[in-house]
Amino acid sequence: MKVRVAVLLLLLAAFARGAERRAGTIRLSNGQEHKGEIWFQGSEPRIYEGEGAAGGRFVNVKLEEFASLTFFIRTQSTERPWRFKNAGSDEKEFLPGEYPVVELGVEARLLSGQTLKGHLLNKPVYIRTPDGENPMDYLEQKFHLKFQMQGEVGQKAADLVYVKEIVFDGGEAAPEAGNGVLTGTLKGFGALQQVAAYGIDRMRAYEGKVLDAAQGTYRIERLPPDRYDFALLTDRGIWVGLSEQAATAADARPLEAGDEAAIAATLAKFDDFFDVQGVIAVRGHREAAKVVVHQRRVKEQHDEAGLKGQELNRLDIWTWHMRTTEWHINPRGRANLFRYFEPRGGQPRPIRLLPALGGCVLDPAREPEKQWSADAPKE
Amino acid sequence: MIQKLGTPSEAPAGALRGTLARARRIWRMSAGICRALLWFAATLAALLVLALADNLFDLPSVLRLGLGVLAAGASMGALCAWVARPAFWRINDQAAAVYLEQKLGQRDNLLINAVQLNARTASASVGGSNEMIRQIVMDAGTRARELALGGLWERRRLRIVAGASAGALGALALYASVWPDYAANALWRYTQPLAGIPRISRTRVLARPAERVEVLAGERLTVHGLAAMREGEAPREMALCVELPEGPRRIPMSPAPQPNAELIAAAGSPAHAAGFVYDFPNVNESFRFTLESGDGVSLPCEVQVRAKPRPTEPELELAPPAYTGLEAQTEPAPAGLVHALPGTRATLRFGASIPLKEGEWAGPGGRAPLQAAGARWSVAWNVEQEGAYALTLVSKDGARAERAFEGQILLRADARPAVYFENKSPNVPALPGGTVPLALRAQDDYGLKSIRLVARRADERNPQESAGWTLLKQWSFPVPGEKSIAEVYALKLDPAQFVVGAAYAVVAEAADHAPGADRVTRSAPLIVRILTPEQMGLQADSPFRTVFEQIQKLIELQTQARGKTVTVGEFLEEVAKSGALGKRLASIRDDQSVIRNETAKLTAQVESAFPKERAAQTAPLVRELRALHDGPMDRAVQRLVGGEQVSGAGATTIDLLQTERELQDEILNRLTALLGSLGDLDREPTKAKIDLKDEQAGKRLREKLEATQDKLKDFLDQQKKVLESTEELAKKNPDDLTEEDKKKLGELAQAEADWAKYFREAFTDLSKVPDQDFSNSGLAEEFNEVFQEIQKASEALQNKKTEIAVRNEEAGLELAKQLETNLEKWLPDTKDTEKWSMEEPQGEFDVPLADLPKELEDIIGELLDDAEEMADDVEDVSSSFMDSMDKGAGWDAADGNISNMSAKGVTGNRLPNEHEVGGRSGEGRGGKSSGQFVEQTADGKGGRQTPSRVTPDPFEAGQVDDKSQDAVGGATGGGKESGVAGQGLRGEPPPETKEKLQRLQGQQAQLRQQAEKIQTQLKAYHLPSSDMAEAIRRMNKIEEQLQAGRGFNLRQAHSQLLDQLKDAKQAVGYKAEIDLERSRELPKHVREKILSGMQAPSPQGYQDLLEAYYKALVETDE
Repeated sequence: MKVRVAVLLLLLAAFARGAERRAGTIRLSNGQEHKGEIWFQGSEPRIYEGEGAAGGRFVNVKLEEFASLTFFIRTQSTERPWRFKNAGSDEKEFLPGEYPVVELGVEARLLSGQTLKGHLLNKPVYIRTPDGENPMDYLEQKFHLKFQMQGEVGQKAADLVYVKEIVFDGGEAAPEAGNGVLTGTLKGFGALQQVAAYGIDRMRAYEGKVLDAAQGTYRIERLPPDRYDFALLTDRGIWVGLSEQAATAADARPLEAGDEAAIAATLAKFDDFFDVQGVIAVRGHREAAKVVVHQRRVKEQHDEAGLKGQELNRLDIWTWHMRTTEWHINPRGRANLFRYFEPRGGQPRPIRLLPALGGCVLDPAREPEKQWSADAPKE
Repeated sequence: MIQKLGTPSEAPAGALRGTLARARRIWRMSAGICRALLWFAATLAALLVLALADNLFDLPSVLRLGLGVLAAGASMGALCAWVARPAFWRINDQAAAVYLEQKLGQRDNLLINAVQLNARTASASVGGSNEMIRQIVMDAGTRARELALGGLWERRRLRIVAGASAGALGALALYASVWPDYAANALWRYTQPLAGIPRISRTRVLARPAERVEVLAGERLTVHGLAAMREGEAPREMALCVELPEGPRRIPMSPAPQPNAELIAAAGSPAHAAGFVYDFPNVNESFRFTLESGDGVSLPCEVQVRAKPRPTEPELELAPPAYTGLEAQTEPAPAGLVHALPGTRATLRFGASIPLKEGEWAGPGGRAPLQAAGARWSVAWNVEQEGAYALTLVSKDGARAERAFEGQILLRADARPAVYFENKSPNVPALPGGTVPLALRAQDDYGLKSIRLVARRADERNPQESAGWTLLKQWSFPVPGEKSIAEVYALKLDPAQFVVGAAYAVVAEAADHAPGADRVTRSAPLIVRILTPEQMGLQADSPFRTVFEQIQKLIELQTQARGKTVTVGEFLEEVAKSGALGKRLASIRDDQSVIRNETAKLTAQVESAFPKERAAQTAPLVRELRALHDGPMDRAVQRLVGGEQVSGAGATTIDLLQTERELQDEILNRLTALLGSLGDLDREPTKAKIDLKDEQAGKRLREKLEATQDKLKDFLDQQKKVLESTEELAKKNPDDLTEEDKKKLGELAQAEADWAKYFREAFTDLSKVPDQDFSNSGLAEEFNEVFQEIQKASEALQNKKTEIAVRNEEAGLELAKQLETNLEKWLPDTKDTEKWSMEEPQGEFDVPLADLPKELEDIIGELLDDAEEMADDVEDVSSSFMDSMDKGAGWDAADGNISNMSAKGVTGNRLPNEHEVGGRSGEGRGGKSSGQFVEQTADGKGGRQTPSRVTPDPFEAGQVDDKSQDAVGGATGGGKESGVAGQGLRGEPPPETKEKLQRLQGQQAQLRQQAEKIQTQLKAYHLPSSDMAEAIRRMNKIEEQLQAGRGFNLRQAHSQLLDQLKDAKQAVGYKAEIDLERSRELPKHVREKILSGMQAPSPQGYQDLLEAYYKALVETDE
């Protein structure tokens, strides 16, 4: 228990200022081993969790969350170079030689106890070791973590060298823990239609399942450790538990008066499928502001008849940041809460903020299933 | 204590006392010895246990210290408080008696009773009989004499403890004898727990240096190690363990070719030994190290770093040579650079980081000791040679720092002076007798010594040869001399010195005060050509033309007359013999008379022919003519009066002829000079004409300026109108705008859009870039390109613009894992009129990386679209959709917003839209792409101008053979490396390029520093320096971009910089000509204003500015 709490606190603290390097060992498939300080360059490593091209999800993992990464050969084949014989013809012509193609899967064990299985989007990893010649200096090496490796003609699969394992020192991983579950009952909001949870630190949304619309019971599964703002959509309206919390950032500048208007002005310039876009609320800080954006398609669209007099709406939380004076949306900063239809020309459902629904801390290792219920406020 | 008994016999009592005393002694001794033996045994046992514990478990130093102190303390404490205690026991007679009876088995208590009764008697308050007491004491005394006190010794106990002691001693001795090294090691480790003495091991490790070594800061330290073994192979590795502030560091040592001899000797020449070595190249901090090899550790060694003396706050005083007239200057010299004239006295002064004892300067030309002056030191030397110099300092504590300070001596060249004529043309035609103004300017960096004007008849082949120069004028300047001089010398072309028709080279020579030969500079020669009368000519309409011609006639007549005189003189004998001498002389006289008369006529003519307004001009002419008439002409006639009578060829005749010729020469010269002055007279009206033209030029200039001012006013008015109209439009609601308003807005917006085209970034696009894997960096080897000519469909058939907005339900992904289909493709014949707009996907898809073919196909056609015509209503919207298309990619080549990973796109004939797109593809046309380039070559197929932006695509392996030169846009911060466009590449460069840019930045910084130096000199010389300042500003800009790793327009900036530097060079070179032309061609009134400005009072409000200006002129600018 104490270990788990300590790990969670460590993670939360680490989120505040990302670890620059971590001691660890990189082992290659050819047996080479390198011990030193390890880091990833640029953005966080991104793992596609799941098998197959669809049905999985991308998960951003910070350096300080990893306990270990193990790569294994998922598929391996020997291919021949080829080309289409003629333009417009499906007939292939094979060229001499063969080359190996290997796809690597990854099993990432996190300190929180979670294990992510899937494959890693290509990422360079760096390691530095003390320089034997000058004890004050370091030797730096770079390795590429790849999903697919293709060799040269004449090579064999065994010739392809890849990073087999990365093990980080310190920070004993918590016992095996799966993803967490948020479940509960929402009373007085109306017939529950959709629920979603927005992970504040990972800046992405997770769709939930409505168990009983009338009773207002729901369940959201496969949630990694994070802080969550909760949102629900009923026949009477939409409630978003937009808390003041935002993704932790060092030296975060607070929001100021005029920021919401500035974001709205920038949003108005966006060219999108949804021709009506507006800002509902902004919370957080200038390094990672959570902006609730409502989008609506008013103009005619393809297969308009199929809509049967409905208008397509979306409610998202987008993460924005301010550089010096201008607001910019984060790359991969869009997270969709709800996609729903409203009668064209009718009264749209109101969108309300309910901060009490937000800021839910979920640690699956400590509490695999968390109750998160609420009653509708009196209006 | 037994009190002395009274009346009873003292003998038994004495015996009793004696016995008790002996008993006490025995008791004390027995106890003491027991205790001592026990203490001994315990101490030895503790020693043994501690030693064994350390041998077995390598106890930490702190623990050893604690245990040692504890053991020693306990032992000493026990010794003092327990072992020695029996010696201080107070044992009275009673206790002794009890002890004695107990130990000897006396059960009748006789002795104790005797002692007690005896004591009562002494106190004299005793009940009972003294006789009885006396008897008891007697009995006790007798008993006491009979007792054998040997039984008081605790023999058994003594034996036991002695045995224990012996046992402990024996064990310890056994330990020490069997493992003496271990015992000794343990002993040392306990007695010096903090000394870092290592545990005994099989491997003996020795280090050199050992224990403690002092090193000067920055010096090298070599550590030798030796691993020695009594048996078995010596270890092959040794590590140097350094304790650093951030933690211990373990450094592998290198095997030494030969073990260090000293260490071998210290180790006693072991059978098996291995040597190691490690170099610290530069020791700056104190530290401690040990060597570890096998199971052995060396004794620790403290490396103490001693500070080296170094100079602080160095300053340099440079006293230039006396001839410069400059004062000595002192400046900080952190780099020690001495840049001075030869002959300068340089003095280097500095403080020292630690007290110095002595020091030395060594440089080109010798050495010099340092001189102390209070807390600072100094050294002086004469700057004569270039080279490096260095200071060697020795501190008071003996630390010697070689080359503690180094500097460089660079000789500043004292440039030779520059001198040149400011005349427009190097060839000056001049009239004989006229005056040629020679304007010359001389400059020197430190001061001129002299300027000489020399001339000689020009040798066409070698006008610069030094022989035969005549000094015309010399100006001399005492030390230090003027730095800039402008002089004008009026060269009078006296026909007596300057032959008519000849050319003379005039050269200016300038010298400065610098010592040494060859300090004279010569100007380019000015060639003055003396015109002949035939070459002279007046203007066709000159009023002096008649006079000119008449003087020419006089000259002709005079020349003829002179010719006669010369002939007679040469053939005097024959002429005299022939008797024609008188006739000849008469003829000469007549000729001279004619000349005189003609001159008189001419004088009268000049006086009468010209109006009074010209009297001032013609007066000198008239005066000269009269002077000629009354002077040499008259004398030439009078001398020959009576010439018919001259017959002989004697000395008189010769003298006569000589004198006559001289007169004739004088007349000729003066007549020729008259022609020259007449030419000057003739030019003055031309000068007036020039003035007229100047005035007209001035007037035209004014008119031009006024016209420009009017135009500027128009421009301002127009701009005001534009501003007003936009203000009006801004006040209106969008719904209230008329068609005209909208058109106006459109025009304004178009202009704005043009400017912002390269820098406008669609805000939404980057947030929609799909997640793409860039694992596979392979490149297709061939790219089959087909060019298609498409006949554009008529405008009437063009589709109207449509938006195809697709929601998620209508969208689908193929996600092909293999490419099996190759549909036919063709290019459209219409412009792009569709705007694709897709709803953002809700799920997340991982797109498979299908194996790409080794040859890709492309179809290229002429662009149908025009970027100007593509408005927002046809620009596709960026989408996060990404697919691997196989069956669905083919037929009409059109754009869209789904990124495709199967590289089936073609270049086509439509312009890429402004949206972001990823995927894998060949080159295509330029646009906002952030995917993966899979073609080996790039040729440049044009496209959209794209802004620079940072996208998530990483830098990839692989180099693209980029033949394109199109500057279609900026980098994204990722991708493969290729070439650069002609204008350079905007955005983040690849890491290798970034490193190259940073190296270039260093070189650019050096160039910029040189340019700054040159600029300082230009300013000092009051030469144009604004071009150089601009060049330096551009260099700073380039440096900033290189430092930031930006290659934006580097080539353009570079060529602009080169142009700037060339301009600067030209400006300096042409400065004199520009100044000259300005001064000559300025309108006269402007020139007069400039010249008179010096005398005029300062205009109101400008006094301060002018004062500062003059002050700046006067002050030396270094």
